[in-house]
Amino acid sequence: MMNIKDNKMGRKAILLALMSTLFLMGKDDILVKIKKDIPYVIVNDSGHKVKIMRIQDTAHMLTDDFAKTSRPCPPFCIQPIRPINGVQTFAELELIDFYKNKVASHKGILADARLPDFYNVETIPGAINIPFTIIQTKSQKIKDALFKALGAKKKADGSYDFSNAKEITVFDNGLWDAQASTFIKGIIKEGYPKNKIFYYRSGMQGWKLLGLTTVVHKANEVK
Amino acid sequence: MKKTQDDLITPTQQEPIIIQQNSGNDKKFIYTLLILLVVLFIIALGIIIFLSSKFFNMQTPKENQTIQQNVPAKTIKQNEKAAVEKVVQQISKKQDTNAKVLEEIVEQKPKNKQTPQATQTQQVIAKTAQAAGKTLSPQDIQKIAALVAAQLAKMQNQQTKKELSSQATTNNMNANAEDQNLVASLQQASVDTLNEQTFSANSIKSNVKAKESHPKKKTDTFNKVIIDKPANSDDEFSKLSKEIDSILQSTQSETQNNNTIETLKEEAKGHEKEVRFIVVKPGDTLSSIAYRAYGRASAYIKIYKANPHLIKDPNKIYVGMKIRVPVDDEYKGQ
Repeated sequence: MMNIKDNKMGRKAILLALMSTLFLMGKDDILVKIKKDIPYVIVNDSGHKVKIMRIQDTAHMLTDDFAKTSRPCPPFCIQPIRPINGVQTFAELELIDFYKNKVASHKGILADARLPDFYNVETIPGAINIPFTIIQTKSQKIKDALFKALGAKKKADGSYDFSNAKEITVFDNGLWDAQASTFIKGIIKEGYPKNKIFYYRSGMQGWKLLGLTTVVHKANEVK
Repeated sequence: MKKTQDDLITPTQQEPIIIQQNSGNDKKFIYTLLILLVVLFIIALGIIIFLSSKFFNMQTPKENQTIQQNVPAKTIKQNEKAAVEKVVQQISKKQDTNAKVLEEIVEQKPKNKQTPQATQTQQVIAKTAQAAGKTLSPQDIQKIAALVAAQLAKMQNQQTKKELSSQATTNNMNANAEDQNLVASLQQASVDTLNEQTFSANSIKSNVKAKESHPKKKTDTFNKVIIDKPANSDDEFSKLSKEIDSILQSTQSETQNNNTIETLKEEAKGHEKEVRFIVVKPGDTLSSIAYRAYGRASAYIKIYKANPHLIKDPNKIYVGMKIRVPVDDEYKGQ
């Protein structure tokens, strides 16, 4: 009797040990993590689940145009840390928290404020394209449609009620690009609450520099 | 009974012979004993003085202490005595006290200048030698003095090093665990170097066929997910995306073609050129890929410039692999 019990216990123990080691091995497979306890993040983009992970090749270097250091200023000038006082600036880890806390529950959106020309070529996973040109429009109808999409309600007197409006993290190409701050200033002018706007200053430049996954909506593939 | 009487007699007869045989070695034995005793005595003195000084001069750890070049006078004397002890020890190890032996030990060039410290050292040496019952010529004393000076310098260095390291440890003990972990992990991490990746064009075999898919999961440096804009998707993201797209459609008539927009569009175009990629097909060779991408098979070198990870092993291209083939206006490709 004791022998059989021991066998069963022994087998269970071995199985557990094997599984745990495999599990642990699998976890340690990722050499370059996002954060010590965050190897990757899964977000929703266009109905697909995208795994945001860093490039694991420790010798990898940027070789495309995001490796360039000096674009002419103007118009590509260094952006200040805050586009407007009262708007919080994000970096990558805050953005990941934003994904988890706000985007997943549809309370927030990640907005790519660049022209569609940029957005289609490469963007951050989970980002919706809201080009900054949209807020430069003179048409009130268009602005109404935009703010409605963002969760605002138009009041009888013509102003907006932003109490249910989504929190919006805005980004562009990065430190040398003014598209995001132009958009932010534009929506603030219309009354969007500053505490619901966040500026991801590093943008595509910072995102790519860390080797993070990007999404291509219009592939430029050689057939 | 008779035998025992005989036995008793014989040892006494042998004793004087034994004594005579050992007479020469005996003197040397006594000499070494004396020297050792003297050395031990000096060491004991030194230890007592050192301990007492430590007891009276407690050094408090200072935050930013620079390397002290002026060691206090007391420690010089201690060091001197210790240095002299060491030298005498070295000499006493050798049974002979010839000048040859001294030259063997003293390999450094003796200092010509006579500093007051040097004369003091020489006096100490002379005294020690006298205590040991030997006479040393002034040349010998000078050589020994040089050796002692060298020993002194060594010991001073060691002492400052010890002081600094002890202060470092006391400072470190005040740092919290997190900082210590960071320091430990940084010390263990290898130096972050840029490996100069060079290759000779001749080493690239441009007609090697692509290998069938990756043997094991290789590190994907492409790291881009291709998602065609969905026609019919029900999720929140897609709905909002479509909504805003429709708004954008209505703004298109308004787009002012000002300078800023034009510059931005050019920048976007540049980026589009850079992200162009090609998927490796079965039977592909580098030449065929280059031909497809650039219209010229000889353009395979461009592919390496755009994909440095291929330099590691230029011939390891796999079916299904995505390779960057940026548009170059020089080669009017597809």
